[in-house]
Amino acid sequence: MFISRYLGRTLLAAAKSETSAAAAAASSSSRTVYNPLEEFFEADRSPDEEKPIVYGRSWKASELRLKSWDDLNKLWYVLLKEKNMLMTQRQMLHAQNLRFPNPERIPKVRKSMCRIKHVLTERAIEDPDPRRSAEMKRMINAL
Amino acid sequence: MVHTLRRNPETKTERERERERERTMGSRLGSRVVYFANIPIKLLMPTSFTNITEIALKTIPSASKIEIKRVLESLYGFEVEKVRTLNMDGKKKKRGGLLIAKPDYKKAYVTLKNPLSISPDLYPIRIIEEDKRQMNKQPKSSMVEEGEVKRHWLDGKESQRFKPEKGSGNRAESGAKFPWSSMRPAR
Repeated sequence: MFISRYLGRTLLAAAKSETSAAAAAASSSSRTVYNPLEEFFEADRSPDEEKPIVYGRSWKASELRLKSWDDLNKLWYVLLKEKNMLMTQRQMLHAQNLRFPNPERIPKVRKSMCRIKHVLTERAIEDPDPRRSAEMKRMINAL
Repeated sequence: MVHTLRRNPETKTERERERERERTMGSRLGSRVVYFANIPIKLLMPTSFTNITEIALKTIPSASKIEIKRVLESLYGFEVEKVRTLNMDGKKKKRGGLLIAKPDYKKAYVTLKNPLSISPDLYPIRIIEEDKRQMNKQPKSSMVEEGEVKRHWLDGKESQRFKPEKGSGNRAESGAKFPWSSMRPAR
């Protein structure tokens, strides 16, 4: 399970330090309690509207081109979980006719995922071996 | 699958090489591996917060039971016993000539092997619960006024109750009260 969160919480540089610190802290407690249902809800967010919620910007294509294939794979799933969480939140709030705050976060996540696929397709096109590039394209575009 | 007979040592090594290539490239077995799953999973509000054995999700209609089970097990770490799905149409409104449709979705009921519990302190749950409680309280308070019980307009009219009669024998006496008293009730 990756602990690195998407750019919504920390930027690129700080993310690495956070993952190492979080890994050290969470390794002791993660084995005792881990409720997978909690992944559909936002962590550390109080129900009162005390302060404005800080969230980051989406990933840029230039930043994504620096990452390796495994990194992008992991980032894809982090983004997918974030998107599921936001959509769950939106659906639950709309069911009670409450307002969903900051709806612009979902398109940011969606566009970051789109950029990941774009970067991977670019790499697949440049591959000299046509069979491997076709396979890569099939892998990238399969659901 | 490779079920041919072994002939020469040269072809055997060639076949081994092919098998090696298949294993690393994964053309036949690897086509079953999905590298970029894109299934949106929206969790519906659980019925209670302790001992949850079944959760409800909404997904896109093209997600199959096996896919959902795989994604839940590998990405989230749920222990899934079984998944039951059904396809639902989104609500459609027709305004004149214009059709406003919400997207169709697939509902999935997932049974878990071990019951889970969730605390209501996570973000949107507390607000939703409070909202639900408020909604449930309001209609009760508007109906009960100063300890009165629900009244019906026929309650005080026991004396004027008439029996359904085929003949018109009682028309004279009941005609004084209401002109339609001799009529049979509709139901």
